[in-house]
Formats: sequence, structure tokens, C-alpha cells
Amino acid sequence: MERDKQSSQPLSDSELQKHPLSHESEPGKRRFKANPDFILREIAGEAVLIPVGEAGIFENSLISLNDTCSFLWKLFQTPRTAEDVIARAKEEYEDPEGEMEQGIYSFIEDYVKYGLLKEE
Amino acid sequence: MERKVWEKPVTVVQKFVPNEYVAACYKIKCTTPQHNATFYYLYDDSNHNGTWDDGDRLLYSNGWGGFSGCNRWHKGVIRDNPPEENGFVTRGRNPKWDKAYSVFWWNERLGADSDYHVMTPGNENYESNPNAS
Repeated sequence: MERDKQSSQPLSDSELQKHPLSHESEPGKRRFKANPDFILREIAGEAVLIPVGEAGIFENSLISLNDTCSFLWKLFQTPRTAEDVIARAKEEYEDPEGEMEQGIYSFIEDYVKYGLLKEE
Repeated sequence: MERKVWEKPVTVVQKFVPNEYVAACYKIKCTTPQHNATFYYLYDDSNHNGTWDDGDRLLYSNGWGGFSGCNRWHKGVIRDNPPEENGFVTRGRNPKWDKAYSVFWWNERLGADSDYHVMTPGNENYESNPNAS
């Protein structure tokens, strides 16, 4: 049997990009961190994100967070996985409706989409 | 410690329109034209046409002894824009044959005989003074 000559050729850069890098291939291990261009402050009893650097689409905006949002934001001040955050949330909150996990995944997805969370 | 009840994370974004209005503090020299000469009438350029005419309102008169500027700098005059001509001082009341001199006037209690003050147009007679109080 002769070796296929093509299989012995190294992958080009463009071909490599089509394959997820191994250290990030497992979704549960992806870590996220709050964008440092936004800081959390309490103003008149309300948790508010203040842009302090590049505000992007949030320029001239007031970003108000409810209690659970504020809790999640504080957790993401250090890089964390979704599972870690879920575990912390379960310590802090009861979840009678069973919506916590999905809520946290949606939070991460939305915040990454709008640049408030960055993947590490 | 009793745990709180989870509620759906909610983020509310409110856009606002920044107000770019800026009021500045000016230092203005109160002086009438012709080196603080005496005049008898102060008019407002009520129709904003830059010309003294019958459409302009008489603000102040002292037909007896006349008036001149305080001849000193007044600090802390707060305005939206730099002072610019908005009235006239004259020695008569007839626009047809009395001469008018353009001035900037403003009203402020500063301990003078009148609360009206005038500035003769010219950059040397006002300064933008951020430290005025």
C-alpha cells in the first residue's frame, strides 16, 4: 500500500482555521471575563454599568442591571466558565422555576454579542 | 443565610442625547464708546437689524446728566455666547438725525447707579474667564 501523497502534506493556515483549537474545543471550558471598559456602580440604589473606555454601541447610554445581572457581572470580574458561575449562582439563589442555567447561558451569549463580556 | 430567589437577568439600556449647552463666565469691561464718553439714552436693538430705528426699545435714559460706563471690569458674567452688539447708546432720541453707537448691554446688579451696563465692542473689552466667580 502506498501512502496518499496529499495526507503527508502539512495543513495550510487557512485549513487550520477550519478546525477548532483543542484547548478551546470544549464549550464547558470556555472562560469569560467582564470587559474592563465598563465598571459597575450603584447610583440611587440602582446597579449601573458605566463606560470608562471604548463604549462602542453603548456611547451615551445608561446600562441598568437587575440584581441577578449585577451578581453575574461581579462574578465575571475574574475569568470564569459558565459552569463555575452556575455553581456560584446556585449557592446564592434558589431556582424554583428551573430557569437559572438557561438564564446564565443567555446572559453570557448576549453579553459576548454586545462586547460586555470577552472570551479569555 | 437564606438564599434569594433567582430572577431572570435583565439589562436595560437607555440612550440619551447629550446636551451640548455650555455657559461660560466672562469678564467684561463696562465702558461706553469714545473712551467712556457721556451718553443720554440706551436702546435695545429689539428688531435685531443692527440699526438704530423706531423699532428699538428705550431701556434707560438720563437726560439730565447723562451716563457713562463704570469703566471697570466686571467678573463672573455668565453667558451662553461671547458678548456681541445688541443695542445702542445715543445722545438724542431721533434715529433720523441723532448718531447711535453700537454696544453690548446687559443687566446686572453690581452696585452702580443703574443695573444696566454696556461694553464697547472690541475684543479687548471682554475675556472668557473660567475662574471668575
